[in-house]
Amino acid sequence: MLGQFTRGLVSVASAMTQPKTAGLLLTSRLYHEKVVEHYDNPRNVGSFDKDDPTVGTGLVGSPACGDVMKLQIKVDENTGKIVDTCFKTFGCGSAIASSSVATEWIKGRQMEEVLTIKNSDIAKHLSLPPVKLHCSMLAEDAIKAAVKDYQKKKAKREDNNSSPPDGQATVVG
Amino acid sequence: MVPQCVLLPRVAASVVISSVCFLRMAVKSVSPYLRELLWRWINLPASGCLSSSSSSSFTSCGIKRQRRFHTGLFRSSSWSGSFLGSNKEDESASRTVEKVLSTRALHNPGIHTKERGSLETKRKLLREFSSTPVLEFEKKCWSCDSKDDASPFFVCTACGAIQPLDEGLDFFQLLSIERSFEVDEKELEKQYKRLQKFLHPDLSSLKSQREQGYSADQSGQVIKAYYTLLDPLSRARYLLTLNGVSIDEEGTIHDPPLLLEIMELREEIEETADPTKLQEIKEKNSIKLQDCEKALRTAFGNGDLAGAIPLVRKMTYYDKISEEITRKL
Repeated sequence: MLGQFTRGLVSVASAMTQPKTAGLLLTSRLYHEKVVEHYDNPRNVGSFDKDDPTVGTGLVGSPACGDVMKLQIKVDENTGKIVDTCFKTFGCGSAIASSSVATEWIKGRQMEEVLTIKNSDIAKHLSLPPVKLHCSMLAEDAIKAAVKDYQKKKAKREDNNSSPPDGQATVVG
Repeated sequence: MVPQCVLLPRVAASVVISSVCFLRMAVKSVSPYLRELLWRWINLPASGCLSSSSSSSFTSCGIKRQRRFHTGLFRSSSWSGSFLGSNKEDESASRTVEKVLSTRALHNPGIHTKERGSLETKRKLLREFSSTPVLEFEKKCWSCDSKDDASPFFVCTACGAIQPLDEGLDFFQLLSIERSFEVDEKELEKQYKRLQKFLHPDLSSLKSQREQGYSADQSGQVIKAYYTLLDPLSRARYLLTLNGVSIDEEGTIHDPPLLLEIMELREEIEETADPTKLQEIKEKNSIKLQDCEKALRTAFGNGDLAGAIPLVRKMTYYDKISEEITRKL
């Protein structure tokens, strides 16, 4: 009986000295390393002048978590290519990482091409858990909103150019 | 000499009964689930045949066959097991149900087989014999079996046993508060403290494991209800949920004026480290939150849920700003 008791004590002592494996369980619930990398070193953080005619601004929000995301694109008017991008996001790490990835992916591509980027691609790239999928959705909507804003500005500019300027007298007679 | 017109129906009936008995024996050898399905199918022609016949000689042999038919069936516990589930309490309740039904069959041969074997009859009887708490049935104490019509049913007045959590009650019903956006915070606190005085798990440490479990569930739900109804934003969200509207499933919003305002405020908070400036922003934000609350009170008072949704969204953003300032300060 004493032998059993001492054996029990030894097994407990050895278990206590072994490194805890509970930490491994915790790591599966933390952010993925790609998300942490984008959060610590976000690409293309900044702001363009939103009145600039070559800039399209996409401003979107998520009512569930109170996140807000601004994604801006600078477009070459002749080629329709996105030459520069920047973003500003106030929200969780996943939202910041999603917008950072989005700005990286759309730089140097055509406007029509970036509209095909899906939130599932962003989520897969960052290994987002189901509860954070709405962050990737926010990034996709921000891209679409920025392109739409640029196209609206361009259309308005073309309308102003095509209509005759005010003050020009019409010939009567 | 028995006339042919009387002999033929008797022969036909006995052929049908014997074929049904044979089928039943075949069914017994098949899996319990298939057995259940086949039993329901067999019941339909058998009941029709037994109830429609009126000749005396048929009735005398019919009753004997009926008794064998039914007692044989009720001895099969695996059949009732497949219907009722594997809970031990349900098994004992089902055995009692079987006894009652077979007694009824013995004393009331005219009862239709279909009615005797119907799920509805068994459920009705289960209510009387099962102690497993089920929401749709009338409230009975699991410990002493006494009836109680209190709502919510927390504690049995007869034996003092804490009852299981009624998941069908919403937070307002749980705390006995009128369902409205306007909530008297003092009344809410009073109800919360009153309930915790007898539901808290610390008070049932000497009771059985089962009762301690019920106490923990009830107390946890009361705490959740109290904190949800205390904060105006969570109360508004909860009220919308009760009315079938979910803010979380809305997805992205494109409200430029609101988002621009939030963006500018967040940038301002990020750029400044001056506590005075931050306090100033916080005070302005508190006024906006109070305005939202007033507007929500009006919207809910008028039953205007569509108008309440954008206000809840706004309030979510201002609440986040308030949190951010507090974190920075």
